[in-house]
Amino acid sequence: MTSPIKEVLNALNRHADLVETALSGMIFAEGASPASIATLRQASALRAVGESGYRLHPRLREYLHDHLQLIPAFQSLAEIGSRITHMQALWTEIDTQRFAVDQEALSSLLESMSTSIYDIEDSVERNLLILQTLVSTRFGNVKSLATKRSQNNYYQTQTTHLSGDLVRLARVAEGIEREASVRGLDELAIGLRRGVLARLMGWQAGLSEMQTEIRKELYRTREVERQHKLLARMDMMLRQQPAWRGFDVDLPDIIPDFLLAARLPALVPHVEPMESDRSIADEMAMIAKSLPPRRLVVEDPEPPRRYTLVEDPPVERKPSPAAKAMVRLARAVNVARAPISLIEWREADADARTLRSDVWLVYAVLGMRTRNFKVEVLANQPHEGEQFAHSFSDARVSPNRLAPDQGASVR
Amino acid sequence: MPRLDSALKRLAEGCFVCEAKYPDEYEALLDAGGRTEAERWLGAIGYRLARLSGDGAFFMAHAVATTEMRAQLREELKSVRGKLEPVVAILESIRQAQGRDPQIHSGDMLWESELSEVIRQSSTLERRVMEMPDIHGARVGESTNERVRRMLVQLEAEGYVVETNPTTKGYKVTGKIDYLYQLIEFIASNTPHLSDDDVVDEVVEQLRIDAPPTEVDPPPAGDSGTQQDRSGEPDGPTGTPAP
Repeated sequence: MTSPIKEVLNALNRHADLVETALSGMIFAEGASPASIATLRQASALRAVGESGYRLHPRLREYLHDHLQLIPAFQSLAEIGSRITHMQALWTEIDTQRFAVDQEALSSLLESMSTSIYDIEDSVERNLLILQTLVSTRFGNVKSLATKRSQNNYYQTQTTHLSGDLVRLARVAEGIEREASVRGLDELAIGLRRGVLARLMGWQAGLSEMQTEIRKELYRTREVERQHKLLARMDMMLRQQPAWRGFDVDLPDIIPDFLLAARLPALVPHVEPMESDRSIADEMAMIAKSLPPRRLVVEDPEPPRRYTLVEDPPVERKPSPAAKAMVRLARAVNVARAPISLIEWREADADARTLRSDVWLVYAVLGMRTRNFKVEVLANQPHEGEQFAHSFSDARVSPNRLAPDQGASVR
Repeated sequence: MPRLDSALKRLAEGCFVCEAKYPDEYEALLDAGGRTEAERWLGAIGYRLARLSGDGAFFMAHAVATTEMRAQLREELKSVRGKLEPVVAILESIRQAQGRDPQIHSGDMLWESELSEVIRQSSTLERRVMEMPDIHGARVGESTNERVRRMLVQLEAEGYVVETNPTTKGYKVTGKIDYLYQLIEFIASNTPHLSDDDVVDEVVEQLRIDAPPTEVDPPPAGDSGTQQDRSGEPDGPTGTPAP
């Protein structure tokens, strides 16, 4: 034996592809199997829309979205107002049926009340979860500023309604719980306390936080729009007023932070503050004072090594015997009346004899000619067959002196 | 903490440390310990750590505004056009190219190819971009794509965007953009040029060529006509400033 629930679930299972297709929008008779559509329609999973279209049952779609955590940009929050009204009506009926003979009806009412309390609890929790998800993700990935603003307004309205419903829920639940306790319906009172009253404070606090976030988002959206507008107008002004360079303003006591944005100056090797710039001069003076004291130069205890150039003492050079002989020869020639033979004069002078006769002869000829004396070389006799000889064995020095240029020419 | 060291260097250089451009440094400053250390370090040299907004970029600000500094700020505001002109024109062109969905805030992505394509498709935008002055290195006769590339490169040089995808030429808007918006906001609140407090847009029904000629009752006192949001659009509805 099968049950209707199993049949419905079997139908959904057999035609899961079509259910999945229908989840994202409307399906048409031409695009799906007629048998599948018929089966799902029989299970109330599909509902006809228009002439040839079908849509998924809203509750089924909601269930699947909930299961898949699909949150559309404009997700409606679960409505609890009607459930509160339903709960209030149930309590009135329970209160009426409390002393009735039909206890089965009362049990059914209490069960319905319990289900309503659970539904309310589940709906509020789900609403808060959706809102928290949407707020933390900046309301989903809407693609334009206008949509975002519209979405923010939408959720602000939704949260305002939900907040009003929570206030009403608190009032109704407290009333029912109090009356149920008085009337001895302890199980119902405990269910209300645990399911609703104990959580109300947390729900209201959470909802208040969401509303604050949404208000901030709305403010931010308005700010963004205003910034766009001012950007456009600034651009227009710059284009239309080319002479506008800036404006003069008395700065307020508290200057906005962004105007005080600063950067440290790059290090420069030589700072030359202008004399008129008082602040820089003061700062420089302060920095100079904060510098460590200058180090005193302490002399090295060990004197540096000094080097002295040592020069050899001048050596008095003694004239050689030949030079002495030359001086005496010149003196002798000066006082002589007739030419003097250099070979003969050598024989009489000891210093002259220190040289060989031929060396003395050349040395004396050159010395006498240097002193501009007239020197006559006595050539040897030529050999046979020669006109003259190339050698000489003596010379005679005359006391007469020649002019300097004559002496040079004679040489 | 090497990231904090780097963050302090960036702050000292006058950079705006945001998540888009300096993610590691930004994270170091988000940390309570790092922020305290940065505040201590900056305080020791006469500055302080500031943010452009609650969750905006960090930057280094003067701890105390001296009289000389105030005078200097006034002088800078007298020639503020130089700071605004190249960047405002480029950003406004990008905003117009993005149509009804402008994305020119911190963290938004700009794609060179996407912008180039949109600008090429609009003769007005293309003319505006090609006639735009103050684009570094712009040459007469270059293509629209080349000009858009130069615009983005200039924005990057100014620190307002950072190239995050060199292959596809994707640029991310940095937190410094908030500095520009705050500067414009400051100008708007201190000059009559950008303020629209005294402006009432008026649509005179008789002048509308698409409306049938109807008898229009004079508006009641204090109501000068239909309020229109000008939204700063140059081609918006005709507006007549109230005297």
